[in-house]
Amino acid sequence: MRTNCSLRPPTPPDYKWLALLLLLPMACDSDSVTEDGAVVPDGAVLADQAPSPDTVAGPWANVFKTNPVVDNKQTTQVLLANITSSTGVLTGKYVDVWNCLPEPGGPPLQLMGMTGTLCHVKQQALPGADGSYLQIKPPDNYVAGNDSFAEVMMYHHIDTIRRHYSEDFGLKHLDQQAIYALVNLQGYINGMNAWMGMPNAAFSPGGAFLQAVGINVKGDAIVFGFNNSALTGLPLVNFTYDASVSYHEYTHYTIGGQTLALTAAPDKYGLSPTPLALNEGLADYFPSSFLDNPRLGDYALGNQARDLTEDHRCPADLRGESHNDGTIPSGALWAARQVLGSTVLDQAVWNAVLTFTAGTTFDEAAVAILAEIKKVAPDKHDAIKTIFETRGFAGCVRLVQHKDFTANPFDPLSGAGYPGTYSVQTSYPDGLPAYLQYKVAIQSTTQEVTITYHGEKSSTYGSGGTGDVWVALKPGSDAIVYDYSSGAGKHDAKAVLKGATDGTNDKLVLSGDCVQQGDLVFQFLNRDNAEGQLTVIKVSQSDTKTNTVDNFTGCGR
Amino acid sequence: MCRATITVGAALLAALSHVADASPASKFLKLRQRAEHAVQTITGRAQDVTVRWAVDRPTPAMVLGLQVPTQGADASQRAVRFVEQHQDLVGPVTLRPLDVRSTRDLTVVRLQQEHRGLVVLGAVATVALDSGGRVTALHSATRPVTLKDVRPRLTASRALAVASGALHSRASGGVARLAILAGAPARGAGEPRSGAERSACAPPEVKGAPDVTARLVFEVTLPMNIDPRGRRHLVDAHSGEYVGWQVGVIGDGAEVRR
Repeated sequence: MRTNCSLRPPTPPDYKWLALLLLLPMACDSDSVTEDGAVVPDGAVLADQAPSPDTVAGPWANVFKTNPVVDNKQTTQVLLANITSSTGVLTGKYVDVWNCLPEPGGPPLQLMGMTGTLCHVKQQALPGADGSYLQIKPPDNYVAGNDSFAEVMMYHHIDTIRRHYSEDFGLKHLDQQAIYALVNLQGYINGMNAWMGMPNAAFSPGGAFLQAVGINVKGDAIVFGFNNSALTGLPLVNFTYDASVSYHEYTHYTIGGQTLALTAAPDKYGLSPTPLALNEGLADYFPSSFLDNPRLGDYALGNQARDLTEDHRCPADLRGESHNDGTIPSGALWAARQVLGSTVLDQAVWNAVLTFTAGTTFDEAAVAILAEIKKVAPDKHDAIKTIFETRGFAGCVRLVQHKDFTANPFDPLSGAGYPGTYSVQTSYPDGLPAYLQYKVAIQSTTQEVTITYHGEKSSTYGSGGTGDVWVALKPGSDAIVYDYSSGAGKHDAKAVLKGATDGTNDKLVLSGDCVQQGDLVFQFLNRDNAEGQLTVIKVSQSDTKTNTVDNFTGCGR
Repeated sequence: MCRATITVGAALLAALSHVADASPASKFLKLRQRAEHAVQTITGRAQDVTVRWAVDRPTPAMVLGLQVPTQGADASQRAVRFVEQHQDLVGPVTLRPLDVRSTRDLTVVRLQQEHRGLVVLGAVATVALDSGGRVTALHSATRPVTLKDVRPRLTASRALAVASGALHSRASGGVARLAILAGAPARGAGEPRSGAERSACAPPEVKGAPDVTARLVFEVTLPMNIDPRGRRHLVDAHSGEYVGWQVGVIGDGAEVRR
């Protein structure tokens, strides 16, 4: 779904939805708010939920089978299975759905000196006189944040994906308890007279995210919001209306809060950002496979939907942002699905996923999945292995040929991410290694090499300023490698140097024995608490020495 | 499910006692040698065995392709006995069965590492068993921990204040629990070299190689109005130092560019 609104300049990645509460909502025409409500096609039912002959009136309901775009705003009648509540609210055996309505009664909200109220948590959807929920239809305004249809959508789709995982792959642990699901999460800011939706969705292990705002949840939870502000630059959508987003969050829950949870894991090349990225990739792949649609978030994410048919590879497409980097394994798995079929592949992948730990990397995961494939489809093993290796899902060496670039500091996908000491609990004496290493060819006539770079720290509410970023240098074509046997990450680079600032960027000027014909490998090392991204990396070579004051001339060769 | 806490590696700990004052590297290598021997023993001449070693821990990150018969009343017991019998694969650690999950083809028992009754953050081992009860795979993120003093020197409320202060907030509230952060050197150990050494151009050296295997920490979740990212903050329960944070909300950001 597209809106007619102009896009707002992107905001920093760590702005979360509460920061958006500071933005005035803008009246904005979009097809999501001007179209009429849904039309229920006569006799349209999901094939696997056709009523039995003796069914007179059951808990039928209207849902978007996929999303309003794919379904052309046509709803489908389905049976809401496994409801256990006596009152008809959508509490069931496997999912407990609550709404968060724009009305008084919620806990107080405080943010950056402003006060307000969080939405009121309650269950609103109830059956009609005939025992069905058919009177609940999509609202005229999808992002009003007060609809019962969101509850119905959530209940149906979580029960659907749970049944798929449990019955088709044997993930019976999902049958043991109901997950808490909250829709229409929003907040009211005093003085602004506006309710602002959370333009996102999330999985909260243990419900901590909700407990911290005064919502008493015991156990894992998934939460969904909507975007009612054109200022976010996102389409005006309700995230609950996109089944693939519901499946995505539920897949995070299925994987588990302690699994694939590390933002970065120590490895041979420094720090690998792949465990959390793999979590995201799996949470994209399984829903896409179930829907037989390689585009994740086609409605909710608009032009940012993730397309699993795109050929994303490690290291070329690695950015240090988990959703972006997750497209590398999800794309590899989608390609493998074309070879093996979803039934066999998805079972093999789940078999492997259940054994993963918090820090399982792309390479370890790929090896484990290949081992499962070898058990059930040995004739396809080599073909899948080739796919995994070609994509860098397996065997990725995070060393790339350097190309000059200048990134948008507010776009997390345009720079090169690096971790901060606060988010990594492993010691690296010279600084935390950035995720990628670069290789540049030094020409025979070169007398001086200048590496120009800028590290932009991130913070919760925007840019955190210039980072304390150093450069590790190693002559030759081989990657810098790390050894941890001493208890800390020691690299085999020959020098670690800090560029001098010119007010905007850091410049590292090399000459003497620091400059010799052949390849030079370098890697940025962060000494700050905060993570960030390299927004400028440029390398220039000169046949003459232009700077004899600050040059580094002895690099220990 | 078996809820008993098991301690493996008591003999190994005793064997290592004579190297208590040895460098971290020599301890690491000793444990690695024992783990390598254990892998050799357990894999024997089996084909299609795959081993991936953890770079920062002496034990393997995963061993695949096993076919090790086990005994026990249920999967949990079988997993526990497997780890007891092959303790060098996970090192001298205490493990407690966390949960049992399954697919059509296998059952996976997750074991949580504990130290003196406290959870070691992120340190989980998984044991996969086939329908015949044979162990087919081991994944592990366990770490040896020798921290002796697990009594906090600050209160939970103080830990909450430290975490809140790290985010430049004076607001109160939140939840704190004691835990062990393994593999994290205390302040000063292995810190970056000073800027004065920037022109040294010498091969890097580890200054003050850490001899601390773990820290006692408060794991803190702050109210959303303090930390909208929902992170789990870590505060050293001895020194009161703010250590850092770990991911608390997974999957926030179905989209990323805004």
